[in-house]
Amino acid sequence: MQTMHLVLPVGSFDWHPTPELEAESRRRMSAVHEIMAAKDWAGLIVFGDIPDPGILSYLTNFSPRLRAAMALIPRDGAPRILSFDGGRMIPAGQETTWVEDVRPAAEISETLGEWLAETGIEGNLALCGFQEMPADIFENLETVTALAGAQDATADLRDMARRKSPGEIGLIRSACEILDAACDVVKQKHESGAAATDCVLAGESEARRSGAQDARCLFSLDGGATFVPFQNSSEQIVDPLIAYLAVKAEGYWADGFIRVASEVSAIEDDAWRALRSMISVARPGASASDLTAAGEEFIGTYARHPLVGESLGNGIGVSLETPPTLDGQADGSLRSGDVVSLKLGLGDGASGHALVSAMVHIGEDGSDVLWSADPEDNHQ
Amino acid sequence: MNHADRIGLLLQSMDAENIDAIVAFSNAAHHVDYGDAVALLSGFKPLGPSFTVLHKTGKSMLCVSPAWDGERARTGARTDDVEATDDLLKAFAGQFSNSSSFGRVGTADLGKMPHGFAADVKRALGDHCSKADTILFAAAARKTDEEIDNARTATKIAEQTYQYLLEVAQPGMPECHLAADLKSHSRLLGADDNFMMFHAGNHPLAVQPSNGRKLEVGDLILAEITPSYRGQFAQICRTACLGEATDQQHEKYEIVVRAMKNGIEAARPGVPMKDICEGVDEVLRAEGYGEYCEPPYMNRRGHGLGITSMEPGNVGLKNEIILEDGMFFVVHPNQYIPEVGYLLCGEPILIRDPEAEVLTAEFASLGTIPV
Repeated sequence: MQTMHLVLPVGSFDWHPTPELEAESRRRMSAVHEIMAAKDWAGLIVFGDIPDPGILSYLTNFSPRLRAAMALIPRDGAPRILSFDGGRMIPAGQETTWVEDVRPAAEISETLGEWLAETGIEGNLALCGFQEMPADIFENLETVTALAGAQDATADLRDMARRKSPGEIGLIRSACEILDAACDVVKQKHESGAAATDCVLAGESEARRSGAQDARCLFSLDGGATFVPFQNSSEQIVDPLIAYLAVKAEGYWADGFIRVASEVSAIEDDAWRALRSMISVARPGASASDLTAAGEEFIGTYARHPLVGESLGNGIGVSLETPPTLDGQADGSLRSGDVVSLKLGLGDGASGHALVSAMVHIGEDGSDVLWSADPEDNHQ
Repeated sequence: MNHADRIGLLLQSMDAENIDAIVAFSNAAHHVDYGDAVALLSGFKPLGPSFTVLHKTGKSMLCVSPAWDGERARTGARTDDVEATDDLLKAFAGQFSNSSSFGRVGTADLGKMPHGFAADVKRALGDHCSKADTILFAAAARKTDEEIDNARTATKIAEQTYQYLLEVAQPGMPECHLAADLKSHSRLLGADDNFMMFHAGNHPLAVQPSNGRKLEVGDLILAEITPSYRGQFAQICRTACLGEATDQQHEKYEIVVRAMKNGIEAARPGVPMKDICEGVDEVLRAEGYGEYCEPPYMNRRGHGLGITSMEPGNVGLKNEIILEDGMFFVVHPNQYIPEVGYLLCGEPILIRDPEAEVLTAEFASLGTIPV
């Protein structure tokens, strides 16, 4: 879900070398090296940028907070991170990663060239995340001849990151707990009669206080017809208050919709029934069409809400949106190990509006709800 | 000056440069060091990748993504037309399907867009395309009256956030948690954003993003508090000691504040920006810190404040830009002093005739947090 990017995330980004996290990082790097060996890649360059560093953070825990960065990973030997931050920011960046060699990118064609010379890599390079690279940076790489003919590793690495390990599920559960706490505060503030902006900001504050590295919100001031980010404080009290909250903790996102209101809503009830039906069939191999069919009885003739359209959500993890994308397009089937943020939006001016969601872990035999604001769900 | 006046200035620049249309892009990855070209041209802070077009006739349009953000854009943008899309490149192609009919097109911030998108745009515009970043951002070197009002409010929020810091900071708190608390607090005061650079140490070497280090008695807490109110950033730079500061720390901080004031006194319409930097350096050199006025210890003595434009640029010795009434930026000596460490002080100033106006209610002083 697109939200307003806030400059400079503040929160705990430090690399905490617990045994579990160290083991997890070794597992990921081993998996990367296996892919590199299988595909005969001599080197891998992973680009990551604000606001979504994606696979860069997944592999190294390095979190660019001011400017982009690249991880340079040889098939043999230690990785290196080049940060586009100024030299004085390097110590802060160093503290966020297990990679020991963090240095300024400076003139990127030169620093990249130095690495290639040191490692003896002349070709057989693979690149990840380069599609998102800004043109200004990309143009500076045009003189690096070793990049010509480099293969795109993005899909391979995103695929590798898709199946969540037990350790990752634990981290996502922690993010869900923070999301839950934030939503509880939104609810409490609303019940106390607070304005909509006060409610969502209180939720955001609670998320940060609970250790979130980032917290985003969207909310509706018109009963769910349209959604806005926080722009300025308002005294407007709304009922219902429908909000979207997303929190990132220990590198993983959790997100969802909540609705707080003094009255029940028929369309909301139907939306939850539809989502529950979808969750009941969410298992390896299920497609967006399968999920839609499961919820069809309750979706009925409601229009789909423009905030999510026909999409039923997407994978979620180190990025807010990862594969699979559940909109009926390619790569839309669930797999064992996926964590998905299922979303359903219904409504129009006549029926009102409903946006419901659930964070779901897809297991071998079915699904496990990690978080939901479902009034009938007691998953926590 | 208002938004229409600014557009008028830009149209004059376009005429002088023989540009028939400007198309400005935003990747919506907002950053305190860069202006946002779409926000500048349209008056609207985008949430997703977007572009806006200004034609030499004065007619303008804004295209935002994702499509569901269209209503907010229609309400908030100052362009003649608004389009909302889930496919920005397709929407761009639709606008420029007959690129030659637009004449010479200047682009702004195309370099910040993903390189594939930028390449497709350049292909669509063909030979009629040139860079217009400089003239676009120069047009917003002077703030509008509305931006100045917003800067005043942002400054108040900054000072209130600093007061909150003095009330809540305690030994044992992780630095990053306090930074997050301050960011939240400033949002509760009305800031739509806050570049909250916050760092502490008993001899800090620089200001940098927060980490998990726990505050200790005797720490110097460095805070760059940079709230944005309705899209306009203001910045104050403050230093506070967790516990009683030493006489030496007070003495050195007074020098840095004196340097700042000397620099601010040089700020007036008609003088180059570098005069402010020279004013700051003059005091520090006289105190024997000349070596520390150069890289790697010193980069700049302040900078512009967006979201629209970062002009008039850095407060630096090479900045020859002539100051004009309505320019707004922060003057921050932010100096490493070898005896005590890095010290922050900085005030947002508005260039007025005959002298600059400091927007803060109180000048920086070395804060003390009782423990």
